[in-house]
Amino acid sequence: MRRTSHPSGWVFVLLLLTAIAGFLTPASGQQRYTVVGRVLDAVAGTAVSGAQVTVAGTEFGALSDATGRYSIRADVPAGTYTLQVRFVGREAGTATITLGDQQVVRAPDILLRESAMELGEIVVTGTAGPTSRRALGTSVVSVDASSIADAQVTTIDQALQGRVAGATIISNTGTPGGGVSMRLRGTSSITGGAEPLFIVDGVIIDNNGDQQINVGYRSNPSNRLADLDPDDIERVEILKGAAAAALYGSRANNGVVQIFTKRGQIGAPRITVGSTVIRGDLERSLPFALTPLDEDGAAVTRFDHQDLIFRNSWSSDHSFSVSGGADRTRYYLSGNLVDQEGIMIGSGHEKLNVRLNLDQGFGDWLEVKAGANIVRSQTDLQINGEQGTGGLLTSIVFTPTTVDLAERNPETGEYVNDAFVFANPLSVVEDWATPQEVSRFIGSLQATAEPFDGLTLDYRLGYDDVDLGTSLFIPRGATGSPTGTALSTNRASSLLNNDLLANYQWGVGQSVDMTTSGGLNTTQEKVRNLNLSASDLVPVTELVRGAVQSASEGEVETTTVGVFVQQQIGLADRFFLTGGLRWDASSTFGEDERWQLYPKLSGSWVISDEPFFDGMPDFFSQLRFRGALGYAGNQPTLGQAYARFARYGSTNNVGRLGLVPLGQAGNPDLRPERQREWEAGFDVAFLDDRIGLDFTYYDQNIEDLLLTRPFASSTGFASRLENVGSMSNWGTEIELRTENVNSESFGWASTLVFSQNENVVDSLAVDPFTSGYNNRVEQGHPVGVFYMDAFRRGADGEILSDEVGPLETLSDSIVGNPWPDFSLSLANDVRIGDRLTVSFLLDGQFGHQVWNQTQRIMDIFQAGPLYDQLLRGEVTPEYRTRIQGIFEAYLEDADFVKLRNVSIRFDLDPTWFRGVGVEGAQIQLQAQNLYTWTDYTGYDPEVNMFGLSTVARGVDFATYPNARTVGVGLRLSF
Amino acid sequence: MPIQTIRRGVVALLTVLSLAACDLDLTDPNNPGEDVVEGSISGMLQVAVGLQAEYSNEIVDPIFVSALVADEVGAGGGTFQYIQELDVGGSEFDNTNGSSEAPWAGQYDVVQIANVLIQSAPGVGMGEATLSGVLALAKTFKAMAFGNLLMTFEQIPTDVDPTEPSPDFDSRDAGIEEVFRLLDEARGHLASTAPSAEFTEEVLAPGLDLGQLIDAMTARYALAFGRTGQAMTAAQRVDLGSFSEFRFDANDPNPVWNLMAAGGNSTEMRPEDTFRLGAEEGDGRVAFWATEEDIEGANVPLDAHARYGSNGAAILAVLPDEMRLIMAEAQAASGDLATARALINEVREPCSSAFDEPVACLPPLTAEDLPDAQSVRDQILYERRYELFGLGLGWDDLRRLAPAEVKYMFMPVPNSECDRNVNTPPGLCTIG
Repeated sequence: MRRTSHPSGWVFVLLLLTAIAGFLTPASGQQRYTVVGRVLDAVAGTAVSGAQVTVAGTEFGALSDATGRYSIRADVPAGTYTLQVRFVGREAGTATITLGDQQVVRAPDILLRESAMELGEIVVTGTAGPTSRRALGTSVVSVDASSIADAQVTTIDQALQGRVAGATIISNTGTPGGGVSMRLRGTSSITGGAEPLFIVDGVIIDNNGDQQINVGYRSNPSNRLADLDPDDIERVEILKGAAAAALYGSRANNGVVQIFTKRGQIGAPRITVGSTVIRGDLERSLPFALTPLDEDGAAVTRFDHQDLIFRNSWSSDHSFSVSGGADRTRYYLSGNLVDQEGIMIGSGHEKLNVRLNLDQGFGDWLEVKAGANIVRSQTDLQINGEQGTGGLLTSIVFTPTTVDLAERNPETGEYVNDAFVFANPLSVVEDWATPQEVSRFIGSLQATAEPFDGLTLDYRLGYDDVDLGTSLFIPRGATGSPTGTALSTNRASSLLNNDLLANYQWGVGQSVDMTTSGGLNTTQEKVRNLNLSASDLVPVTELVRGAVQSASEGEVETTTVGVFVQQQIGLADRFFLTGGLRWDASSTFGEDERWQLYPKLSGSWVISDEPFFDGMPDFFSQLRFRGALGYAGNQPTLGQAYARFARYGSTNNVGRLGLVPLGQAGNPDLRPERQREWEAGFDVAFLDDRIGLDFTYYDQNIEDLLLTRPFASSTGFASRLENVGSMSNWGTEIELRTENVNSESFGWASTLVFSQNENVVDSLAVDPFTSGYNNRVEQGHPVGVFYMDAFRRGADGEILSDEVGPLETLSDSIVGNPWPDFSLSLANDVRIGDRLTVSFLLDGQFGHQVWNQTQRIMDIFQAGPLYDQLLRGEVTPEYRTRIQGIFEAYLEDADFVKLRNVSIRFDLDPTWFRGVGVEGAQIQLQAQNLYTWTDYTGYDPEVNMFGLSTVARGVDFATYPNARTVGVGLRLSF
Repeated sequence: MPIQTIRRGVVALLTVLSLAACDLDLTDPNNPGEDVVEGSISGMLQVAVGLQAEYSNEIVDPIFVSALVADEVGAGGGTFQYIQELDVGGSEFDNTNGSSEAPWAGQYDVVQIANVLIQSAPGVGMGEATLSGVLALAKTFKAMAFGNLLMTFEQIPTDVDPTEPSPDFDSRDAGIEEVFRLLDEARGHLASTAPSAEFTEEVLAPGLDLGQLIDAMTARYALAFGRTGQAMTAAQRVDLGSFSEFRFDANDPNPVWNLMAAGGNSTEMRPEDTFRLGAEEGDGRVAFWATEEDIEGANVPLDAHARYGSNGAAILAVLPDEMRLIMAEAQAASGDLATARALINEVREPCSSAFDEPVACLPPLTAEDLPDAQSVRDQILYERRYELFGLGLGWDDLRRLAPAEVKYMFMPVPNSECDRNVNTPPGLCTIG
């Protein structure tokens, strides 16, 4: 019996949790004080939650809560103490307190400055050990809990949208719990995956976006990032390419996103509860043909079918957390319950997420941290996209607006009309079912030891186990399926990673700091798929039970092993040089190419700390130059995990089983796609750090792209997976942070993020090919450009016409690009008075196109705006026929600016609640996708029916639009 | 325990944990890999079964091209353009069509599997008697694939290997030489070591007699490639009391039925009514192959398939009557018309057969009927047309016996080979 779970991992975690429980001992001390106070943002005045406040020189401390408040129980002798506040991403803050006769001591507010240039910030991703940002040669983005909390989002990817220079984050679908795709610095692959590597507390997690079974072919990509609870997130670090991510070796071509979750702090239990209610609706409607005439000018009734399938949705999000700690034990426990309605009828998503983080110190040299995250969710999908049977949006775009879909037979109660070629969408919602269930466990275990001064050993075990099941039930008697159909697909995946890191810090003389590091890493991934189907169904049950049944199973496993060393040299804490080497081996590489070497080199020079910088004008406050060069790889996908050898499939010869080779030849020289990236830039701060500017230019060259190369038939094989192509990305990232106003009663800070990327396929050893509908891969062009039936054009590019209308080309040509030329976003945080803060995010993408196949189909099926023009006599039937045949006529500029997020927060005066133990309360109003400025005529310029596909992008075909939502929430802390 | 010992223990434990589970040589649990299959006895025997399955399925491609060119079958009304063109002998198609690609790729798939057996079977430790059978089988089927290729294409590469993307083309003579070298070696294996029962009962497909097949194929290809004497010798070795066929069932359906009858409008090909109308009155073989019907074809009216009208029909492999006609043709070539006539009559006269094969049940022909070499040759062409319908031999029969009627000498080498094999002689890539 094959199993995908790794029982040893569970047992290990359980043993550890038991052990930790045994160490819980009550605190004891000389005199018990309770120190209370607040941690606030120095500019916006907003609460800083999750800041670590400690009484200097003691082990007592606490974390600030969502209102910025903290409460420390300290058993110490009376005296004067310094409170130290640390928060990743901000400069440290301090306050002085005197402990005397009073048991409860109120400390002054501690203001943390979000430095315009965060040189002191500690970054841990992509480096062998925690490293100060000033020493990094690359642009590493970090997003902290407060910006995630401000955004009030339900999934982590939404929290990153518009906040990361160099990242293109696209909501492919508005399906609740549905897919988002992320590209860091463009696309780095053609046939391989292009999504970054996601890591949570050292655990490499599954980010599979597969669409299981054909619930509207390719219209319901799943989103494993939606499983995470944004409230649990302390901080996110993002490495955008090979230069920063070289230590992740052959999984890092597409960058790395590491998520850190919150952990407990010594002190009394801190409890927070929060609830949000959210209303969603459709922001824009499609222009259905509603002119009440037929083609001959006679009066007819027309129906806007959108009214039938879209609704105002109501959703709720409840969260709870308790954290604290005593002696050397700290804990963080949280729960999150999401009940989300989709704006399309019959769609919804329920999720329960529970997390427990436990930290235990042993003596002064060992600390063990464990984390367990359990997620269960159920999503009611609705069919959409290109396979119309049962599709809601699909069926209405394929149905003339004269058909009354809502009409019922008064006697039977059944719907009278089918949706032209498909089943009636209303009966589909009533009788069909497409549930998707996720059951997930993410466990982590980290042990950090300091056997002697300067040496840190860090061991991490990560385990992610996801069970994703999707079913489709079509009842007996359904249109197109008279005896019913039931399908069920289960994908069980497990990812196990083991890391061991060693860091040794030493020095040469007074001003040379050396950090020598090394590490080992193994990753195992296993995915098992089970597919069941039945027809001629047993009545009553919705399970896969019928007179005709079939089943199949598939399994894929990969192993990756890596070893690395890194040396960092710091000179006078101003000039830093880091070099590293990673050797990687993967079971997916051919035996002759098994071990791959990825070097990196980076430098950083904090020039403003040099003595000669004192001579510069006061205008400059800080200046740093940085540069880096690194290599990383991209493994063959799971589907090609065994492409290094030829494989056999079974065949039948007069009742006997035979084996014949599959069409793909084995490639013993198979190796990863390999990216070389260099980047250079500077960070500069002006006017006493009130203006900060980061600039980065990068250049990536990806070689050995994996492509299926067709073979001459005389070899006996059809093709082979080979490392043959190459492409480039280059671009610019600018982040400008300003403190516009900072007075006692009013504060305003802004962040402007600009990213621009260019991509070109440099060489392709295979013929140009098309992916999806019309995304082209061709040498000399960006990957995935639109290649389709186009307008015929004259010498100057003007569209040629005859008496009917525009002419079409005789062969397909390249006519557009689904990738934006650049993106620009502006985040603003405004503080008004003591208790009110307002933040909003404008996010725009410019210079790209979307192919509006939805509208083309509407026009063809007498439901679209062109048909409406015909009804109004504005165009001829011949013109309509001509336009519908020219695909380019439906390629639209999709530039957009979205008011992505608005959040208004009001802190209630805690004294109002003193009696009931409430220490802080906030009311928060939030809105997502409130308004979109765009000329695009579809629902949403952001959707893509091909989900996470690397090449097939920018196609809108009956894709579930993203909802506009407005919510109100209350958050209390005790 | 001293603290230092604990610390060292922790460090050692962590190192061990990190290095655990590092197997990089993972195998595919879904589809057996080449190392597993090509390194085991059972794997090799299953490949030997697979080779026969592959050949008996890919044989349809040279068959349909030959049957169209020789006017055995005609194109249905909705067939692909190139099928209609082949039917009428037109030139509105090129080497990107299935008439080039399918026979080429399919036969080379057979060659590749045979090569795997020839290279790997000797190394897995199977018994000598089983190995003898496996090698004889592999070489026979490889020879048959090359033979079919050389009846469809003018020149081919024979030294092929998946690791060499651009193999050299052989001269036609060298290619032909390779066919007989392989068949001779196959015969040699059987002569030196008789195959084991394991081979004949579990590997060799039911319905096939390998020894007879080797001789019959030697005779067939020797006749086709102008080696009349060799054809005669080989045909004489065939036991005229034996019979072999490639069998099919619902799970492994007859590929000719699958393509021509069940494949849908685009590949519908049925017996031309001229096949029925051109037969001698009373020729019992017509009904074996065709059933009168008036189906509209793209070019000529069509009948229905009789033999190839069901998925379980066998494809004939070793036919005593084919051997008789080969011998007759060889005798006629050497001037012995009397023996040739006698052999022709042996084919014509029987009204029944112990085997499931066509029977003519026609009166014998005399020296007056067939007075000279040309009339004997014409009669042989007629007998072969009705005896060997739909076996892929008709086109070559025309090349040999009625060159004036040949629509095409050979098919062009397919585009996929011309594009990807830099050693393809460019002249072979166009319709000749």
